[in-house]
Amino acid sequence: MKRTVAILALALLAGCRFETREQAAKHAARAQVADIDGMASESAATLPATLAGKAVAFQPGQKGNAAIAVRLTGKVVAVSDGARARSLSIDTNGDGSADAIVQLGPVVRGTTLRDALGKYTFNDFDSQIEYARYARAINDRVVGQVRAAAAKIGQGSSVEVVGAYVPDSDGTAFVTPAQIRPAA
Amino acid sequence: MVERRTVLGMLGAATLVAGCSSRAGGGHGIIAIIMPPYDNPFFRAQAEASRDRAKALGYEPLMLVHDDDASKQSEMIDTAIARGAKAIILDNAGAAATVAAVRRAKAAGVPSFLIDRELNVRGVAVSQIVSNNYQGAQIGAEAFVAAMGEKGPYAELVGREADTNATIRSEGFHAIIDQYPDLKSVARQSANWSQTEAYAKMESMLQANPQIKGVICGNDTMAMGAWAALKAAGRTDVIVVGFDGSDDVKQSILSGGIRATVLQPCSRQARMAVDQADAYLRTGSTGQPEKQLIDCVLIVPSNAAKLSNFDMRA
Repeated sequence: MKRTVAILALALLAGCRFETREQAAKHAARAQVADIDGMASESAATLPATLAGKAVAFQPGQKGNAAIAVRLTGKVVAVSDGARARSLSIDTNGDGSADAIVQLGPVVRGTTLRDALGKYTFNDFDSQIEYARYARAINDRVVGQVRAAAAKIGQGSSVEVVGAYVPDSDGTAFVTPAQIRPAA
Repeated sequence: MVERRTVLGMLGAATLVAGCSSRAGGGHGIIAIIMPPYDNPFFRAQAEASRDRAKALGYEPLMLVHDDDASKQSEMIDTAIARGAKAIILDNAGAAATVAAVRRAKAAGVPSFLIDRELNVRGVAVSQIVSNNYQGAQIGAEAFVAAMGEKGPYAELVGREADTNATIRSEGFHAIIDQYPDLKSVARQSANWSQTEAYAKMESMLQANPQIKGVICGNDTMAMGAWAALKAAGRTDVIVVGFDGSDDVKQSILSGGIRATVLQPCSRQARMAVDQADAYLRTGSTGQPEKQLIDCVLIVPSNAAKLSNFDMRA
C-alpha cells in the first residue's frame, strides 16, 4: 500500500515536471476549445430575426468595407442552377438588369452572415480556423434553410430577401440570404 | 514561412541588430522585437517596420531572431525580461509552444503583442494582430478562378501542414474553388512554404499531370518556386497565384508571369502592434480587443506597382 502511494506520488511529481512548458500549453489549449457547432446552431437559430431587425434598405452601388444586414425586394431576372452554387439574380430598381446576386449554395462563399450578426467575434475563438469554421457552419445552416424555401422560386418571381453583404464592389452586390419570401 | 537559412539572411539580421544597438535615445525603455529569420523578406519587413515605429515613439528596440525554434524563442523572452523590456513584439515560433514563455513574461510584468501568427489560447498576450487569411485566400481564389476561366485541371501547393496559416488558406481557397465543378484538383502537395521544395514538387506534379492549367499556392515563396519550375519546363502558360504580397512576386506580376497574389499588410500590422504596446504602457489599455483580424488586399497587374515592402503606397 505504502509502496503504491509512493509510486503514485512519484508519478505525479514526474508528471508535474513534464507539465511545465509544452504540455501546459497543450492542456490550456484543449481546455478552451470552442464548441463551434453549438455556437453556430445557437447563432443560426436567431440570425434571420436579428438580421431582419437591423437590416437597411438595399441601395445599388452603395460603398462600404464592413458586412451589413440588408433587405431587398425585386424581381428574379435569372436563376443559375449550378450543382454546387445556385443563385438568383435580382433586379431591385425595375431597370431590367440585376443589381444583386443572392447565393443559395450549397457551397457558400464569404463570412457576411457571421460578420453582420456579430454575436461572436474573433475574440471568442482560439484560432482563426475555428472562427472561419464557425462562419461556414452558420452558412450551412442558414443558407441551407433558405435554399429549401427558395426551391420553387423561379425567373419572373417577385421576392423579398433579408441577408448580409459587403457593399464594396463596383458591380453587382453579392448577398448571402437569411430569409427569402415571395413579395407582392 | 521559409525555413531555409542563407548567409545573406544572417548578415541582414546582424546589420539590423547592429543598426539599433548603436542608436541613442529610447527614453521610454526597451521594446523587444522577436521575429522569425529575416531571410524571408516578409519577416524582415515586419522587423523593420516595428523597429522604426518603436524608435519613433521613443523606445529602444531590442532585435532578436528565434529562427523558428521555440526553445531559442523561450531564451529570448527570458533575455527580454532580464533586460527589463517594457514590452515584447513577437511573431512566434509555434501556437502551442510559445504560450508558456509569453505567460512567463506576463507574470514578470512584460506584456506581449503578437503579429502574423496566433497563439492557441487567449488572455496571455495583450494583442494578437493577424491577417485575415480566410478572407485573403478567398479573394486570391476568386482571381485564380477567373484566370482559369472557371475550368480546367489545377494543382495546389500547401504550406507547412502544422501551421495554422497553411490550413486556413487552403480552406479559404476551397470555399471558392469548390463552387466550380469544372475546376478539377489533380494534385495537392505541401512544399512547407519553401521555394526550393516548391520547385521540386512542381516539377514532379507537372510530370505526372502535364495537363495542369493552374497552380494555387499558399505563399509567395512557393509561388516563385513553382513559377521557376514552370519556366524551366517551358510552361509559362500555367496560371500561378500566390499569397503574401512579396516584392519578388510583384515584379513577376508586372512582367506578365505570376497572375496575382494577396497582400498581407504585415508592415502595417507591425506598426499597429507597437502603437498598441505604447498605448498599453501609457494608459493600461490598447482600446482594442485582444484578437484582431486585418483584411488582405488582392494584388493584380493594375495595382501591383503600388506595392512595396509589404505596404501599399498611396
